[in-house]
Amino acid sequence: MQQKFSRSCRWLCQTLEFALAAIVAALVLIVLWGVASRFLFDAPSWWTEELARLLLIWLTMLGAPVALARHEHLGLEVFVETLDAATRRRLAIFSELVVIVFSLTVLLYGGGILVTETLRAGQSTPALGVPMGYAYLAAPIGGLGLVMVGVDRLWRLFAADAGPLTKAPRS
Amino acid sequence: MDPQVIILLVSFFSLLVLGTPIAVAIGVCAVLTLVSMGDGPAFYTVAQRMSTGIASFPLLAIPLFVLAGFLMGEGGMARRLVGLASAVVGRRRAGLAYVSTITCMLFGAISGSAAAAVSSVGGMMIPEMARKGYSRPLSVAIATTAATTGLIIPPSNIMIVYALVAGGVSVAAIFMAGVLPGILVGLAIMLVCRFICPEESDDEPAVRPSLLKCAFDAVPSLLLVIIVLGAILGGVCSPTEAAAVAVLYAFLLSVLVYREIPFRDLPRLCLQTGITTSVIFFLIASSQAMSWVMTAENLPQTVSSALLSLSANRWFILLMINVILLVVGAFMDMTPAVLIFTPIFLPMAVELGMHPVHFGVMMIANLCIGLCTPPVGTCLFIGCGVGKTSISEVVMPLTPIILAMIGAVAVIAALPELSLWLPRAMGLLE
Repeated sequence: MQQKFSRSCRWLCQTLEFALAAIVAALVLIVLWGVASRFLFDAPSWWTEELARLLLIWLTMLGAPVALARHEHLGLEVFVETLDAATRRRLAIFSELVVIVFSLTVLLYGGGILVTETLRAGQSTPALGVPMGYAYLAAPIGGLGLVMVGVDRLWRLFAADAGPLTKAPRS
Repeated sequence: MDPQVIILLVSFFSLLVLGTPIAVAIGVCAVLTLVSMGDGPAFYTVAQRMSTGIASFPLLAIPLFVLAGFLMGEGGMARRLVGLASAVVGRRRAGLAYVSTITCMLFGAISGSAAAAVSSVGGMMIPEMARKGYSRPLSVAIATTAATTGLIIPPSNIMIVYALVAGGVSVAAIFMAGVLPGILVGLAIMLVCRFICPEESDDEPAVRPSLLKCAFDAVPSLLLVIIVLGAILGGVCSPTEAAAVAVLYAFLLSVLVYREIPFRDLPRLCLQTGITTSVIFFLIASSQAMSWVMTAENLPQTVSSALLSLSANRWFILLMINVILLVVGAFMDMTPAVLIFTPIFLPMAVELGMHPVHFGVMMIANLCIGLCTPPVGTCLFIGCGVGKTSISEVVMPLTPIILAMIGAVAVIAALPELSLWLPRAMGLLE
């Protein structure tokens, strides 16, 4: 059961990683297109800036679960590292719980309301005319990803073969 | 103090000490404070502030500069800069230390990332210094500290973050304001190296590449910084667009001309950029929510009036801010430190008559020191990894260099003109 869940989390992260790389490449091309359209074709593009800004929300929210899985989020670990293994484990569990609760309440629940409210209000972006709700959709999706990765890490903490709890030393 | 302020501070510091990711800790505090205020739907508000807070075109320069830095580091541009710097200063006493510092200044200037500078320049220079009789810890200490100069010399991602949270600070102006202070920090490091570096054992082969050849090799890399800064300063395009051009240029040079990065590595570099960006932006997102809450709570005013009531002496307050930043920097990474402490300290500094651009340069120069000091120092960790030594060994040779950097920060703090003269002369500030 736990291994099955871990596998689906890995699969999720791989999908998200693919999306991240694609978004970064798209951002480069979009901004370059904006520059080119202004200088080469003398016809400033009206959609590039807005699309790039909306993609930034998606990049951030989809990247957050990947960063959590890879233990890349910045945190103060100096104090925790001075403690003994048992306390450290308890604190790690606590910390995962905080992440999960935050993602559930703010990103998934709050973000979900945000999406439905803006969709209902019919708010659209000025240039592209895309409903703003689709831009905000990144928050609940990222939140769901964070919850899954968080639960997976928590589960592994409880399972006997608890994987690496803290960041591996940089090599 | 209001109960809300206490809730905010207590929950934040306890989560921080317990090792929760800083971005989440900030977000949780924003929610708790909002809930305790009883001000409408807290979850919804924080989610909204987080999403809209990062949808900013100026911020987009950050992933682009990060990607450009990866392309340059892996694409052989760092090596060519080392070649140029060694041809110019390599033969002097402590020559290799100068070469490391100058290359880091140039490389950091191009890529805007200290971590990239330590891993690529340090990766090349540390073995070289060890070969010529420097102890490994000493070479790691030099490479680590030198790399931070790139965060003060433009373009610099952390300055873009600062410009965002400070509000109303022009990115172009703070970029130019960093030039002279960055050079000052570099000179301070080199001055110390002059005294602490050993005599280099000269097992140099008789034939060295000529200065002309090295300069010629390095010109395409140097041209990048001229293009980027020229375009921003000339008002031709925004920093974000200049950063995209930097990516294109670095891509053409490293992938197509030098052919040091194969095409199949590009998705990996894009992914790495995406993750790095997401970490920074997730922090910015929750800080945006938090700063909205803090403004509603008047927290910055509370802290600044508390500190200002201790003493009205400008120099004392300035000293206190710097000491706090040094301590903060020793424990916290630079981006969260800038995001958390700018809204608190900047109003105070402005009240003392400091220009926001000057304050930003001072704050960033100060926090650069924290990147090299234990217990938490991103550059130090990478440097020790690259140089294969332990942090405790590096502390000894690191100490005099850190002292010199503190001296440089004191000069930067005391002389506003050092930061403000160049942007003023270029008409970027009134």
